[in-house]
Amino acid sequence: MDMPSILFREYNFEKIKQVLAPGSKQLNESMAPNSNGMVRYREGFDFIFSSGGWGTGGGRTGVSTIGNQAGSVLEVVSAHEITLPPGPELYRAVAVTFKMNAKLYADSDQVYGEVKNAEMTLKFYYTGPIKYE
Amino acid sequence: MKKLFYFLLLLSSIVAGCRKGQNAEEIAPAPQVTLASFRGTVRGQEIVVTEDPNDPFSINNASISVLMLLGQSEPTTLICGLP
Repeated sequence: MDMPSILFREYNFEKIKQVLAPGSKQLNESMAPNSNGMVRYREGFDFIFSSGGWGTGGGRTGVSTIGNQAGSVLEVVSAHEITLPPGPELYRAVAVTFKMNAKLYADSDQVYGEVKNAEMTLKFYYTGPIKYE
Repeated sequence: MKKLFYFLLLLSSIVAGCRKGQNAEEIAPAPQVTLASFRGTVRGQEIVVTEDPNDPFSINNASISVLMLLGQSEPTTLICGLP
């Protein structure tokens, strides 16, 4: 699985395009909280699909792909920079098309359902760095 | 004694200035994400979602959400309604 990481200081549009480049990606299989009770995210590319929603604490409230995804597929089939819609706050954008076959879980480890033959296009709008003093 | 006081005051100002310089940091905000289209079968139901060209950033009742993390401390969450 392709799982590149981005250093925080190197986080820019080119790195976003690099992470979202065509190829196999990995579904995040867990959102285990750390000792402070905060959800720990991997650095790099995390992808979670949910057919329910997210609570205020970031936890799932419905069913999601958080669970064993052995045999599942998440693939970027195309990624290209797109022309921006009107709006001064936007900087650059990339449209990414994914294909996905994955298992859905509720609150148990039992498979609750599946996402089959899904194809989705997401647009990522990068707004540029903000200087903090 | 007075010279020592001013020396320490000057030293503390230099240290404070250095710390301020170290804290200055460029932070890239998480990218905004919109769903242009979705087609697939979710739990046996065929689902088709298309973008609202008039309001691509609109967020409806949570039905599908895609959580993206791209080297950020906080995730980018996309939520869009299903028909």
